[in-house]
Amino acid sequence: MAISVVAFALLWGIVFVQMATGHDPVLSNKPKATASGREEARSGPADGISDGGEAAGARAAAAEAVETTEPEEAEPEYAEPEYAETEPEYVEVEPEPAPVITGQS
Amino acid sequence: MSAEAHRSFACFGGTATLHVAGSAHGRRADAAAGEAEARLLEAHERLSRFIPGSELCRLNTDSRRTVPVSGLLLEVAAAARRAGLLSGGLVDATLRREIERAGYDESLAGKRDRPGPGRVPASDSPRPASASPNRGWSRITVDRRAGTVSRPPGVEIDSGGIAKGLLADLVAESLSGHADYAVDCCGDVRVGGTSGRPRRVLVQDPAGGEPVHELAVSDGGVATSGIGRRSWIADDGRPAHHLLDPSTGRPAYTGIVQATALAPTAFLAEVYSKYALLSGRPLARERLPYGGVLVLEEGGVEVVDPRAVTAGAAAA
Repeated sequence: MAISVVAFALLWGIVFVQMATGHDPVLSNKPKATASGREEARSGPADGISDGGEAAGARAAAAEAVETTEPEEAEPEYAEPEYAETEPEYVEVEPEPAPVITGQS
Repeated sequence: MSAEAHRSFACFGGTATLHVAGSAHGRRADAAAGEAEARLLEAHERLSRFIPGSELCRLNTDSRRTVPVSGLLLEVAAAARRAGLLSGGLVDATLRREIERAGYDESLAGKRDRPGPGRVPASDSPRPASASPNRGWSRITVDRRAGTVSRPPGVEIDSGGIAKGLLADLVAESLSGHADYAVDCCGDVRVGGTSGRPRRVLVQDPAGGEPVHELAVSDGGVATSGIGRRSWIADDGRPAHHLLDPSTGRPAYTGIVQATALAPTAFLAEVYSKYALLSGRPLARERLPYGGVLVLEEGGVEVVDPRAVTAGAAAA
């Protein structure tokens, strides 16, 4: 019994320390990606590269990387299509009176 | 609305056709058409001059001056007089002997007209017909209260076309509550109905081709008279037909081979169509006060607009 209590406390402590130090296994990838993208975006001007095209491409790639990580933009809102609820009118078509022939009697 | 009830049957020496749509007074269209057919067939039995013992034959052979007759024959006799009055004697329903002398002495029902379909008898010298000096039609008197017809001995009635127009009107009266109806007594047509919808009326080509004209009638009568049918080869080898010039008792050749008339009733249309044909080309258009269609001997077709007729009469 005592061994179990000790083992539980030990395991709980390890998990607590992990959580407290920010090593959440589920969230670990996202903050890393965000951080790396922003670092790359900022690094362009800082390097003093004169090739504007290359720099702009790098900035665009960085911006794209950032944008793709924004959760609210990654999931577009689903707009329910609106349907006009108009019932088709049923018009009864009366048959035309049959033609008659007038001829010599 | 359901489709029209339809009947087509042999009657008056030709084919009668009925169209009825809708119910009236609790009577369905099919039942109404059946009653109308029975009424027309009974009238045919009463009014045919080719059925010995018919009421018309009995009247014509009765030696009495005044004869009690049925309500139907009373109406026919009154119509014969009125037709003469309306046409100045050109539409004369008292030429029974003359038409038999001309060769029309048997019913042509079910027989091929002797000149053949598409062959219209013609004459080199067309001229307008004129009234008979005998004016037999004017000596017919009808006493509706007594239910009798009076006429001098020798004046015989040939119901002919006037009975067809009259019967179309009488049957139409009995169908007046139905949504749509058409009564076609061998070309004398009465159209009507509570719906007020127009019905197409096709004017037959006397030469047997496609219809020469199409009319739209919602309420009224249409009738066609012509010399292309009920025609035969006379004893002298010349083509003859049933529309006689009353002044000669011979078939009339006026330059018009077919006349179709519109009118408020089928009886009036029948009178106007014969009146127009017998009047010949100069006057035929004026004889169609409600409009119509003329087919000329040389093959032309003239459509008479009733407004033009009215305007012409007013100008004259």
